Amino acid sequence: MLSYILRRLAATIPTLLIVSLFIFSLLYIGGGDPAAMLAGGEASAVEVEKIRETLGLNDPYLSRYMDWLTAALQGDLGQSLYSQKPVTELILQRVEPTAMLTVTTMIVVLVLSIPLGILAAWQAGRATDRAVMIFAVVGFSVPIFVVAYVGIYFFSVQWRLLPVQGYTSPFEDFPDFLGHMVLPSLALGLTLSALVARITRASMLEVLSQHYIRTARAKGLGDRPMLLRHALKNAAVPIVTVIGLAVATLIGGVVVTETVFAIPGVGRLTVDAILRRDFPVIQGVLLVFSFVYVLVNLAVDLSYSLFDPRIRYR
Amino acid sequence: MTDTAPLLSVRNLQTRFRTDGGEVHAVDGVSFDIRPGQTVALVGESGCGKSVTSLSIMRLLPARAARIAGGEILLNGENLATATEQRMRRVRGNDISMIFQEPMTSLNPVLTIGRQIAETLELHEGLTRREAGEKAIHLLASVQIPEPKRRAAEYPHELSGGMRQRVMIAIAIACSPKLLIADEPTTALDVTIQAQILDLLADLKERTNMAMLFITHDLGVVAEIADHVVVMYAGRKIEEAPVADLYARPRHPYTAGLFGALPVLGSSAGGQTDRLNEIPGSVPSLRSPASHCTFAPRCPRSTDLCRAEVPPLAGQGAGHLAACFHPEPDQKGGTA
Ligand SMILES: Nc1ncnc2c1ncn2[C@@H]1O[C@H](COP(=O)(O)OP(=O)(O)OP(=O)(O)O)[C@@H](O)[C@H]1O
Ligand SMILES: [Mg+2]
Repeated sequence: MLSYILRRLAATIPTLLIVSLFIFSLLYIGGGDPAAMLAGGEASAVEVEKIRETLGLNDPYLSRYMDWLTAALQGDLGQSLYSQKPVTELILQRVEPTAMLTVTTMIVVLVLSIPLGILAAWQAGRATDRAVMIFAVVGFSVPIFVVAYVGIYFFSVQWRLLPVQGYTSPFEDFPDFLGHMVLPSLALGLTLSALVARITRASMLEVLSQHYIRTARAKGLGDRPMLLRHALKNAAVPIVTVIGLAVATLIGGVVVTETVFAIPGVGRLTVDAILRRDFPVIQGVLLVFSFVYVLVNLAVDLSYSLFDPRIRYR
Repeated sequence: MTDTAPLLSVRNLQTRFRTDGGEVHAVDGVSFDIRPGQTVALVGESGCGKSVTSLSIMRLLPARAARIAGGEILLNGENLATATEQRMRRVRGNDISMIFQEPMTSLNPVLTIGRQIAETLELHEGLTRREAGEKAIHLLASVQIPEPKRRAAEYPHELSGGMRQRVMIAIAIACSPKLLIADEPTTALDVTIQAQILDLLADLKERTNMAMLFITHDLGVVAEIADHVVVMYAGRKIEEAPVADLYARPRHPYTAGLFGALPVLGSSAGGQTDRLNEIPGSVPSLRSPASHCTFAPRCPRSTDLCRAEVPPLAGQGAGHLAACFHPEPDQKGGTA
């Protein structure tokens, strides 16, 4: 198992190298001259040239990439062109809200989608099933910002039940944290819940037609143990896979959600960096996101063996 | 023998499937009794309704596609055809157990063997998890699985087909049911394994006085294991008789056709595989209830009468019934 994990991690190195080269090249694909931007509109050509020199922008391409990568591997992602602060520090400051939003969103997704998917499969063809499927189609098609603004309008503006925007750390004021997280996690989680509910239903339906389910019923088991003990674990692999994908798509959704709800997370950092053409920050964030994505994939792969004893890693 | 009260009495069972082309009368008026400790074999061509009959008894028919449209299934006098699902959960696995044709896929791949046996015990006997786990090991031993303790911790994919069918049997007998329904339990297995499973079932019957409804295509098996035989054709019972009587004097031309090459009774050399004889023609569609003898189009003895009316079941001797206007003559010279 351990050697499998190590080999899988090693296998991600080429992927990460290609991704990092791409991220590094963004600076040049994106057009615009960071030195000129940073110097400001009125700066003379000499001043711009000086900045370019200090940033090392005049060195050969590959050698700059190698320098950048070596530094990144040591945790040094460069300096923000805007605030002059180390990118690593900027990201670390913003990690908590984003991590918390991810966790609360995944809780929403799991609590909503898996029971709904099981219910729909159990009641296949009946009214409950149709209702869940309608939810799945609608939930999947409504954009995050629509849910967000409708939610803010009713819950925050009209009924004044929840704060409109912002973020409080759970370590400072937990109830306030929850209040702030309800709408963002629902807005972000709805689409994903719809997706996961659909997959759960499909996977459960497939399992429920298997012979061993007939055996379970022939033993005299009721619906609950039949569904939860016998069916769900067999249906788990596709469900976990799609949850992994959901976490990956969440990374994109976080940017929109944090902007709408003014949450000071990595998503907001990214948006601000893009608006300011703050390339070191953009590169740093993308690099971190790619790394998280690779880790999530690995975790999903490894979790298969928890659900299915026929899957063994050597 | 006939005076013991039946354990299970199936009376005029009607089971229908809703399909796009209308209702299919998969089981159309089948009746038979099983007495305590008795083994009744249910035989007939593929598609004649054997599995549907057994699933009707267990009330495990696909809920939305099938329904029991009429008749009674009396277990010690209690009608299971109309029992609640709640009640059926107490009956299944406890009073009546079932083993299936597909040993490779009938066990849950993600639960250990021991767990799958213990689960039934916890459910019906109220044992704790630990007690049930221990009893599961004993049960594995009683179905002759070597190293039962180690096997209990294994998953189905680590066992062969024969082993898995033994595990299914262990699950089925865990709560000492009064009736075991075995739906072609050996069809999917190698010949030598088939013989071992049959020996095991015969042995269990001897030890426990459990009754058995044994569904099979294999006439060698029928001769070996059954006391009484029910022959089905196109959803109907067309003949039934004590096993020796049926082998000696099949009355219905269909039965006679099936038994064309009679295995020698009592030659229970394990693993005989005399399949039912091929009879020319095919099974009629079951779209509508029979208005005449459904076997008539394939029957060498059929007359206009057979094509106009449904032959009633008529007595052919002690415990012997056949639904035929022109039964086969008694070749052995006995009286009908
Ligand atoms: N799910 C279903 N939908 C519609 N009709 C069905 C369904 N299952 C069974 N039937 C009908 O019931 C009839 C009897 O099927 P059954 O499975 O009982 O046959 P069988 O005697 O067990 O055959 P085999 O020896 O092949 O197992 C079939 O011919 C078919 O017409
Ligand atoms: Mg069958």
